[in-house]
Amino acid sequence: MVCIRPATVDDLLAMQRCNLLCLPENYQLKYYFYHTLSWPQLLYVAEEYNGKIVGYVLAKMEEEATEVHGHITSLAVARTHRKLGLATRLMTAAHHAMADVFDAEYVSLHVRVTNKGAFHLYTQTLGYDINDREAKYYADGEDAYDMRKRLKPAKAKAEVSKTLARKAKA
Amino acid sequence: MAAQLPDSRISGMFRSVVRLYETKQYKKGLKMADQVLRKCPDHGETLAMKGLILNCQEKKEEAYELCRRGLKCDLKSHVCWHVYGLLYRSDRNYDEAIKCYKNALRLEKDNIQILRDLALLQIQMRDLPGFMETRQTLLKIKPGNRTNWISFAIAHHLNGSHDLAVQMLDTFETNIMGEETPQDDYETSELLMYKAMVLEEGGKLDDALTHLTASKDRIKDRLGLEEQEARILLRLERWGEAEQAYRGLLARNPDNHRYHEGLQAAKHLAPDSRGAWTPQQRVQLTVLYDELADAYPRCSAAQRIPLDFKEGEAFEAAADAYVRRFLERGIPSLFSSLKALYRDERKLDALGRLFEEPDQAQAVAPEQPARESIAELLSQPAPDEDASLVAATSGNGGSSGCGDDAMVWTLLYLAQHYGQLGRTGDALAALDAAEARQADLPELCTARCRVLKHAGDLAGAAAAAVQAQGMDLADRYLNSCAAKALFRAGQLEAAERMALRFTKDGNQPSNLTEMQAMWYEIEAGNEHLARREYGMALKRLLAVEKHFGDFVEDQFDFHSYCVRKMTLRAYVQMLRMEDRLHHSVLFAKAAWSAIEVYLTLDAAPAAAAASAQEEEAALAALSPEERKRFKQRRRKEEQRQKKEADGRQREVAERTAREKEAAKEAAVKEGAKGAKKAAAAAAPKEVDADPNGAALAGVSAPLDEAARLARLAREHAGGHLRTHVLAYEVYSRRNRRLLALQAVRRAAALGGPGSPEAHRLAAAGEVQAVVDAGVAAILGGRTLADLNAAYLAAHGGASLPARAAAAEMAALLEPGERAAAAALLLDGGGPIGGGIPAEALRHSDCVAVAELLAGPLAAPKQAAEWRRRCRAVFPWSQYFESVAHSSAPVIAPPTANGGGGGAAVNGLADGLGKVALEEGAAH
Repeated sequence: MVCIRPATVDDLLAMQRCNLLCLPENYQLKYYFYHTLSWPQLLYVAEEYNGKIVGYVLAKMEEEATEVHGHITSLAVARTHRKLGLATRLMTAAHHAMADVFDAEYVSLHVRVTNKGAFHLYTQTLGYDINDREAKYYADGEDAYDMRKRLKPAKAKAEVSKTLARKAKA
Repeated sequence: MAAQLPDSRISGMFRSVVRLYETKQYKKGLKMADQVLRKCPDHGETLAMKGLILNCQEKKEEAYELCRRGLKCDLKSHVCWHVYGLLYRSDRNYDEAIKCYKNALRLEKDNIQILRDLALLQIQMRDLPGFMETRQTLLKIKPGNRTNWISFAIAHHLNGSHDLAVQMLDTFETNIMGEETPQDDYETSELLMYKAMVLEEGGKLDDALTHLTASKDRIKDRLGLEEQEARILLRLERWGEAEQAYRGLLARNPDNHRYHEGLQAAKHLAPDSRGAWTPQQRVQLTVLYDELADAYPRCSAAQRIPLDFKEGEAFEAAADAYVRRFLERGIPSLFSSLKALYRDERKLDALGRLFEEPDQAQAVAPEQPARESIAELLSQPAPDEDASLVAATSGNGGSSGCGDDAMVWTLLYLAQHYGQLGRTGDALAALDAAEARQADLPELCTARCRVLKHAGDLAGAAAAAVQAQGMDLADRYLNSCAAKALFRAGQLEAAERMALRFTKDGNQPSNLTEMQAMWYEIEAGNEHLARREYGMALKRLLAVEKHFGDFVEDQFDFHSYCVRKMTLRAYVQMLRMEDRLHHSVLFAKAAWSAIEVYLTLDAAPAAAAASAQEEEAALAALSPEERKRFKQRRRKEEQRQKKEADGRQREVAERTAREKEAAKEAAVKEGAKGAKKAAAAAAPKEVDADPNGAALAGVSAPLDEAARLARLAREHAGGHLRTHVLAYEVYSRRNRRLLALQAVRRAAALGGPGSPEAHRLAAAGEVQAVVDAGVAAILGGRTLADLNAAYLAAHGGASLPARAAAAEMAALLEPGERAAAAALLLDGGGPIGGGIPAEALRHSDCVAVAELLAGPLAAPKQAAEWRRRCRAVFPWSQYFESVAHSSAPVIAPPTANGGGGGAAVNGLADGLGKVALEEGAAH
């Protein structure tokens, strides 16, 4: 049985390990520190019965953008723990936190255009749409889909410009 | 007397030096500094500033030199002292930096910049009283500044003065935050939650609850709020409210196991300290979980937790329902989710039956052939002979596509189940049968890898892992597993190639190091150690130590960042995490292996000497002229190498400087944008000045290095027996009797009376030489021979390692009696000897005994006999060179005993139990 819970600073080393075992995009520990010390509510882990971390989501907020929104930096589930719906649960938890705690309008992420499994999860299960395609986004030259999912109903344009004006004043 | 600047024009120039430094315009800054120095060569502060700028360009020596000259010229300048401190700080020499800042403050008491820098260093070094004092001074100087209030509150909190911390936060809230601060923003919310944390940790539970209730509307972290409320209600023993709180949390996320624990505690349904429940508790738990499973039909925790507390038939029914879902959907983690139940022998048996027995198999896949087929399946030796079976199943698979799949997953489970019980032959037969049905499932190969690893066939394990990797080339997890298995099998080159497949930047191992892939460094380091490549071993292992140093350093930027962001709870947790960071077992593993390397280097200062001897021998065969020419050539070669190395080092330093600069700029930009690649950009690519670790292996005093690591291991990994075993070796070689004795004591305390390692240490002859009170306490007034005999009698009956330790010590005490010591291991009955029952035999222990017989006991005949017997017991072992290798067809007939029963517990069944019994009867 796998436990889905908010991550703490004490999970970071295990998250980094899980990332290194599963994904080609890796980060130094400081980048994990940066996430949890900026948006502590946006990190979740999937923890196996014996305490092993078998999946995680690492997310952040783009606070300077025109519309405040969240961004999924990294999501991984170990191959040994596929088909349990862990990715869906981790993502859903992060989405809720983005909307509730940080008032995110939408959430974005990048995915390799060849990653069929992930693409299916994002579009079919989680309700993301393609926003754009970024050429050569990945270090090995592969393109990425820039995907988005609205967390709140879209604001009217007038309201967006009002927000902008308020920001400019501040 | 300090030189003064002659006029305002020149002091203006000095000010622009400072400004240029602050804006990172180092070239211009240097030029400007030189202009000032031309007019006024002894101006201390300019000298110091010039040093500071040079330091940013990685010209360290020059920087210190200039700064010291500056100080000499102007000892009363706080600027010079501050700069000196900054140099030390940039070298992470924080103790010295603190001294410099304090000198600066003596001259300029209220300089805010220096006070801030000092406070940063004090918290980094965990000088909590100092930190508090500095933060207090800053608050006095600038009481209107919000950061100063918050930081002072944190100082009190860390110092254990929770009440004062709360006071500070209250004062801040009422006096500083003011009207215009928005009441519902994230920072306010975090601040309120921080106050709740301080209250809770200070034991003011009621106050914390009141505070949370009063602040509800302003707190955005609703989940954090509800979690804390539930936790506090539980601590206050307000059971009913706690139950409601945890039920609320479960409604949010029924898969958070901690909420289940909370709910159980609130209802007095938590198990006792041994993990047992009363019958009444079990009844209540059953009611509770029936209800939860109804409420959350998709929640896996509500399905799995009952398997912990249910027993007997109720357990079997629940397990049946549980596994069915996994098998039908082909979920690979079934075994790992049930493994914890294997501690309970009855549940273990029940699970075995569930998968082996006909009605269950039918229930899983109703159209599968019944009972005999699983047994038959398992008894089919070669996969290709299974064609008829495949045909048979596919014949009725038409209406239910998942039937065949479910059978594959059933067989996979059985393989893991048998593997867990040490029934290697059964496990491999199950995997063969599964592969006959579905040949391209990587999970079958990874399971095979694990089974073979435990059976001692490391090459077969690696081959299986590589095969799995080939089935899904895009999956890094399989790639990592394959690399790990290759390392363990000693195939270092193949392992390196495998591990590098997913790295960037021209596939250099440096990328794995840059990304802090410590699993790789430890595996690679251990394999280099096994190959006696000490330089490379140290290079990999010490990289792990360096990563931990970097992790500590990583805190630095966050001391001020978190106070700005107001993420104070996470910040305080981060400080605590850093304080126990080195307790990570990764650090211990790297330190242990590195100590071993240094001990080896100390014992034979010549991996180098060995090759020097060979060279001597080769030279002796040459004519005098040839010898002369050879030596000349070598001298030249050495000079050339030295020159190259020097050049390389210089180049490295310069390049590093340039790249750090670029990286810093990038980091600043990234920081503003917060973009994705910050992590990758942050680390400059350094040229490796010691690519083979030759310099590391050439260390002049390896024992000093071993002692340094032993001290760290004792400090951070003192709870591990291995730390003290190694520490003993280090200290006894250094003749540090008391420390060695301490290691013996700690090992004894940790290992308990039966521990072979602790026994070995306690009995090691050398300790006897330290005849003091300490040894007497351990020996209890007996002789070592008495002690050894008593140990053998008490622990040597059921444990091979214990018996081996006793035999080794017996030989050590009476070198003339080696044969008798060897007999302790070989005689006495049991499948291999020593009267050890089959289920207590582990492959690795048997390997260790073979080495002991061949080595310290100098008993080659007995060693050969031992190996012969082991071959029969561990037919898959490479070490014992048996015939039944993974590459050969598996011949061992499986027991396939449907009843589970006694034989299943036997770690060595596989039909080889027969051999074991015969051997046992012979004695």
